[in-house]
This record gives sequence, C-alpha cells and structure tokens, in this order.
Amino acid sequence: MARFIVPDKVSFSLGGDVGWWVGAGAQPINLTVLTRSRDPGLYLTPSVNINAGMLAKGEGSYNITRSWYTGNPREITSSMLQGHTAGVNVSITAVAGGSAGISYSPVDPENPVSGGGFLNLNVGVTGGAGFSVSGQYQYTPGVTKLFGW
Amino acid sequence: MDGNYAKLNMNKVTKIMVAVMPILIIIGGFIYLSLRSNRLTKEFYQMRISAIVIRESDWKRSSIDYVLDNGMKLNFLAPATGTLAIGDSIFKPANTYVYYVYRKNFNYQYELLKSYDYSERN
Repeated sequence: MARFIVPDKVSFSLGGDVGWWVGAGAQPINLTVLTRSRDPGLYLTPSVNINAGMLAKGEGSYNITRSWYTGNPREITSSMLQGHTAGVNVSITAVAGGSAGISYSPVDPENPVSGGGFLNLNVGVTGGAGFSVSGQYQYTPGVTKLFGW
Repeated sequence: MDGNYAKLNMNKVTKIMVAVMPILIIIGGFIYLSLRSNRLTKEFYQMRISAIVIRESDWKRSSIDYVLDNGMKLNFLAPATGTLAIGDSIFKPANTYVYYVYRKNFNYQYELLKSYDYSERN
C-alpha cells in the first residue's frame, strides 16, 4: 500500500512530439526522483522517443510518470534510469487536453520479465491537436545526479 | 452512397489497424523475448560451461552483458564494477545456476575470484 502511494520512481517531463503515422519527440527536461533505492535522489534523465500508430500532428506535453520496480526495491540503482522503455500511449487532446500511457522499462531488454524492470504509468497535459493511440519506444542515454539524500 | 460508406469504413479500419499494429508488435516482442530468455535460462542450467569472457557490451545502458567465447551472455547491473572482466574464465557444472569466475593472478595462473547465481539479479 505504501509503495502504491509513494512509487519507487517519479518523473516530471516537459517535451514535445511531432508526427503522423510515425513520429519522434524529445523530453530534454526530464527530472526523476528515486524514492526507494540504493542511491535515492533527484536525477536529470533527458530522453528521446519514437512513436508509431495513429498520432496527432504535433503535441507538446507536461507529464508525470509514476513507476514501480517489479523486483525488490532495495535493488534499484540509478543506472536503471537509463536505457530502453517500450509502451502504449493514448492522448485525447480535443476532449480533455490530456494524455495517459503505460510502459515498461526492462533492466535487461533481452530478458524483460524475469530480469526485472519498471512498470510506468504516466498522465500528462497535452497541447496540440487531435487524438492519438500509439506504441512508443523511449531511450534515455544517460543519467546525471543533481542531489541525493 | 454505399461506395462512400465502404470508403469511410475502410478508412476507419485502416486507422484502427495503424493504431493497433505497433502496440501488438511491442506486446509480441515482450512475449517473444521472455520465452527466448526462459529457454536460454533452462539451457544454461543444464549445460556444463567452461568458457572465457571475450567482450563486454553496454548498449542496454541499465545493464551490461559479458559475452563468452561460446556465445553465451552473462548480464549484470550497470556499471558492473568489480564483477567480470575480459579474459576471466567461467566454469559451471551441469544442472546448477551457480557459476565460478577465475581470474589470472600475477603469476598468470587462474585463481577463483568469486561465484554468482545466474538465476539472481547481480
């Protein structure tokens, strides 16, 4: 219950996407808080993403992502914040101006389930136009620690 | 009128297909990789292994693969400091997940460094 209320990882991002069937985007400002970890703290985790599916032409968005590690949270390290994420994203701009998505960031992409990973739920406020349903791949090349506790 | 209706429906079907296909590819990819990983884990357990670490690969970023000369990979959390190194010798008896790492000492003789359990996250 405590883990549900305070997730293992929380990210705040500001970024944008452009595209029609296939699109690309970037979240240059992506801050991540590791709450339970071997090294808890605030990290800068800029990322890029590729979307494929039914996309709006252009979207800018603020997102909050809540994430839970599938294994023991004491095993979490800051290096797990970088790497590859895949998931599904839905945004309904015309109706609600919002987006929601679910994704998974495996520690070992070749062993995605038993190797452990983060299950991510994100909600966002989206500017732009249209309705989109897409598969999303995201890559975070590196992580910078801003401060720890 | 019917032609327009069919065209409208076709557009709708195309849109749904375009939306659904990437999602199915992602889910299918996860299922395929998980099944493959389970098979490789089972093979690892059964095999007797005597091999040398020949390469390391960090394309996954969050974890590092150490590639053995028999093609197998041993995965560790990044940055994997103090775990394996190129040139280490790996030995594993059959029917166990536990493997032993040997490293050359100053006399160029392999000596036991440590052991790991393949079924656990290291």
